[in-house]
Amino acid sequence: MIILGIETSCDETGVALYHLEQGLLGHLLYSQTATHALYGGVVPELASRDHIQKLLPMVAELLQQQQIASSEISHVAYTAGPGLIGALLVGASVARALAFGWQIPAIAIHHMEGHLLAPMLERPAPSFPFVALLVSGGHTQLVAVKGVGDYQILGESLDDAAGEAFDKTAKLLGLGYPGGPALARIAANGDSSAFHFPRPMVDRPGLDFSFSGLKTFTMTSWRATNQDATSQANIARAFEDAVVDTITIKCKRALKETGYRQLVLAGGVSANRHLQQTLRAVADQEGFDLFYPRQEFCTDNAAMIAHAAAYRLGDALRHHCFEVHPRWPLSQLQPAKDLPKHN
Amino acid sequence: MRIVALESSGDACSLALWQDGTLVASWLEIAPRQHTQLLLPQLERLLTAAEWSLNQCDMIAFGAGPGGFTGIRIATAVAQGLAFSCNLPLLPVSTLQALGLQGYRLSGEANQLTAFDARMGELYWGGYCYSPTTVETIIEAAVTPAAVAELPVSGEWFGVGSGWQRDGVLLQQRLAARLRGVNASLHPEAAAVAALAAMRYQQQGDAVLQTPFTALPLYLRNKVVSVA
Ligand SMILES: Nc1ncnc2c1ncn2[C@@H]1O[C@H](COP(=O)(O)OP(=O)(O)OP(=O)(O)O)[C@@H](O)[C@H]1O
Ligand SMILES: [Mg+2]
Repeated sequence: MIILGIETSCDETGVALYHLEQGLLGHLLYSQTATHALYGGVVPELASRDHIQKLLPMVAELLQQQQIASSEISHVAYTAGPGLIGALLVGASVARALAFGWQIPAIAIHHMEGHLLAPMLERPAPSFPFVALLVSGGHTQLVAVKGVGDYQILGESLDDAAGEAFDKTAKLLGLGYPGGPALARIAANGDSSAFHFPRPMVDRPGLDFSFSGLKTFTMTSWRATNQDATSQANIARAFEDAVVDTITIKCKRALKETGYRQLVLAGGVSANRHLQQTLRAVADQEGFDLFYPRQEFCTDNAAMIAHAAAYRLGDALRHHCFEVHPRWPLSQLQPAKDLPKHN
Repeated sequence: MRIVALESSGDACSLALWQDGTLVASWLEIAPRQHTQLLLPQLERLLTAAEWSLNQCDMIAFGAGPGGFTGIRIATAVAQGLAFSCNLPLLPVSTLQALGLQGYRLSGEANQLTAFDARMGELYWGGYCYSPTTVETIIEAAVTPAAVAELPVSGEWFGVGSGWQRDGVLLQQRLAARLRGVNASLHPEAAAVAALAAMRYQQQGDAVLQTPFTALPLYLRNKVVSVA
């Protein structure tokens, strides 16, 4: 059984083939970053227009590259939400039409479940139960994961998501769009003692986050400097330290509260080296296991969608009516039906 | 020759099965924002009732636009997916031209000026001349304010489409005695998309066919954002 996975929830077009026994066969990703950079953020209509041009040629290219005949595909999985409605509709429409024509079932996947399960694409893989830290462009959540679809939200951001905070701070520092990765790059050269940013919400009990105050702090600090490269790096460093510290404290708390011994990182910000290294050191110190996917599976991709579908075969759809869900809380998911045996 | 046609550029959503000059089956529903819930289930129902399988069809025709961006993208994406999965060619049809055909058939008037409300004070606008077996473009499709919409240099014309509701008075003034009548309540339908596809294929052959990689929506309005 081979699942074709399709991801078009935001500004990345992704396709992947996942074999139930052999694992991921291959995937392709096209990023629209250059299209949107001009506008300082994702322009939804342009994203949709780009997806519909790229998606099907990429499906054909991947099948060709992997020498897979369409008759070997058993399921078509696609991101049904959350995300940009127009972008989601392109992926869903192509996916459901393919499933219709091939006469095979379709599987609607929650984008954040895709992220959340992505670390299980790697070896060693985490096993249930674990605590997941979802840190992406639109989400910051700590989740107790007892199984596929069995998610208890332990805490989340009350304002900006971690990735959003990275991007907005980068913009303030003149690093363009999307600036998260660029900010992380220059932070590596910053002096962590030059500025000290507050650690929001750490003195309060609970597992919620708040990152929007860091923007204000960045702005005030930045204005007080002569805005040279050194100050830029130092402020980037202070910002990153504050985010990483805050996340670390909350992760430790979440592990303590649940009693789980595994921490799983997922979403775009989990690609952050400083975050990975800090949590690695804490994991070694405290004796818990840490998992995160390789760089390319931290950010949006279709491998995670096809992979998540492998756990959702019991939810495969044989009818042809479909919808997308631009807003779709992770907590609304139901446990996967009939967990199939998996490699 | 068997053609499957789909149209979802506006509030309506429709399908048609067409074979050798005859409409075999069709379905239409006014269902704003429900296109994705209806299109494929209804297609399955029509195909089953007609005892057709998609594999045995010769092409998929679809209303490529202009129209609502989301609607024409759903039609295009579904058409692309169906065509790719069954190895069929695609024939993108102008929704303005399809509507003109409907206007021609209902009114018997050969010259049709079609107009959809494109919002932002503009129209999607085109002019076509029909015969029972041919269509000729007289005014190229454009997005334009009614006040400056290109008019045909000669002849008498019939107005069709929702744009005539909003800008009918102005257009009527501009055309004066050359306007023979108006039907502002017609919406493009898959049956016309199928008929037009057959007509164009008849007229121009394989040149009008596209692959699922090249068949794209016809937006007309391309300025959708301004640089920050
Ligand atoms: N090395 C890094 N350090 C910090 N942030 C990063 C890094 N790499 C990527 N990011 C951030 O990750 C985010 C993108 O991640 P992802 O693609 O998972 O988010 P998204 O799909 O836009 O949002 P969501 O998944 O919540 O819908 C961006 O905000 C980006 O700045
Ligand atoms: Mg994402």
